Amino acid sequence: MTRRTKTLSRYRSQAGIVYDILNTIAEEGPTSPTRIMYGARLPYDRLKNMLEHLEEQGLVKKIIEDDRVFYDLTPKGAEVLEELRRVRRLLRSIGIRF
Amino acid sequence: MDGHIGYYAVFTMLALLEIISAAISLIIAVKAMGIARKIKDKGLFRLGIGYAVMCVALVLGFAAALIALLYPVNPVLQLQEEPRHMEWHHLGGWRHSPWPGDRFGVSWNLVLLASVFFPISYAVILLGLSGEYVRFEQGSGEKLPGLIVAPGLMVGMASDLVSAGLLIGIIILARKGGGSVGPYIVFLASHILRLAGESVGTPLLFLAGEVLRPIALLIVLARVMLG
Repeated sequence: MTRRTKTLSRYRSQAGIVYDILNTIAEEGPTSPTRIMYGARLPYDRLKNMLEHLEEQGLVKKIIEDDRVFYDLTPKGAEVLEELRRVRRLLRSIGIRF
Repeated sequence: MDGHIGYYAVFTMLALLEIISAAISLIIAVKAMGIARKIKDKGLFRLGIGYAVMCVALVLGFAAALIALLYPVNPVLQLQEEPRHMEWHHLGGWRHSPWPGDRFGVSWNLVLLASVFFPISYAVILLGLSGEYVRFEQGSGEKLPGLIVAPGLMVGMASDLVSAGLLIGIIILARKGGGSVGPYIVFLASHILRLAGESVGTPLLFLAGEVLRPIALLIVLARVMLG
């Protein structure tokens, strides 16, 4: 059990990271990067890069309100999250954990 | 095995398993590439391509089994008719082709071609997995005069060796990431059985390896369906 926890903390799949980010935003609604960071268990610098990447792909949108930054899912992001949920078991079976 | 019910039973089962598993690997490829395209995930995309290549290999395997079914041969008679067969035996180096369908015909060549596609697919899957997983810190007998083998057998043996090596890499990588390794272990067992079959020229071992390989993909299907 200890060994498993250790290995899981060192490697994560890209698809799993995207899933965790989108899922956190879907559960929380428009969310601050800090909350996404905890929800997706990512260090801030990596989260920042991932959010920029997801924004470029049109999966999340940045909202600025009173100098505060939030991220929300776009319809395309919600669609991709749903698809990731559907293929989750399949991807797990072929060695992709998330 | 010509005329024996066992011959038809084995190749019917093999053909069915190959085509079912080809369909499964195609579904995996389409799903993985589809989602990878949307999230711009190169690792997952490569993994999908790997399964697409595997689908081609399985279709070739299906075609080989189908040809063996449609054009049954008597492998024992065929061996005796093989020119220089006994001569090779006297030299002590002849290794039989382990494919009982048509030991030197089209179906055997298709099996060999599929054998080449499998390590390619594993290599692409390995490449995909290595790109997909990111390491990061959590926020929180008698001496022979020479080895004489059945035509193409070296291709099959080399492919199985390479496949086994690549699969070990895949298993290590997927295990590190915490992903499921069950199907890859079955693939590995299949290549080891094939290799054993090819080494001693035993059709039974070779066919067991052939049958086991599609079963790996059936395991994926069962896991997806049963959860």
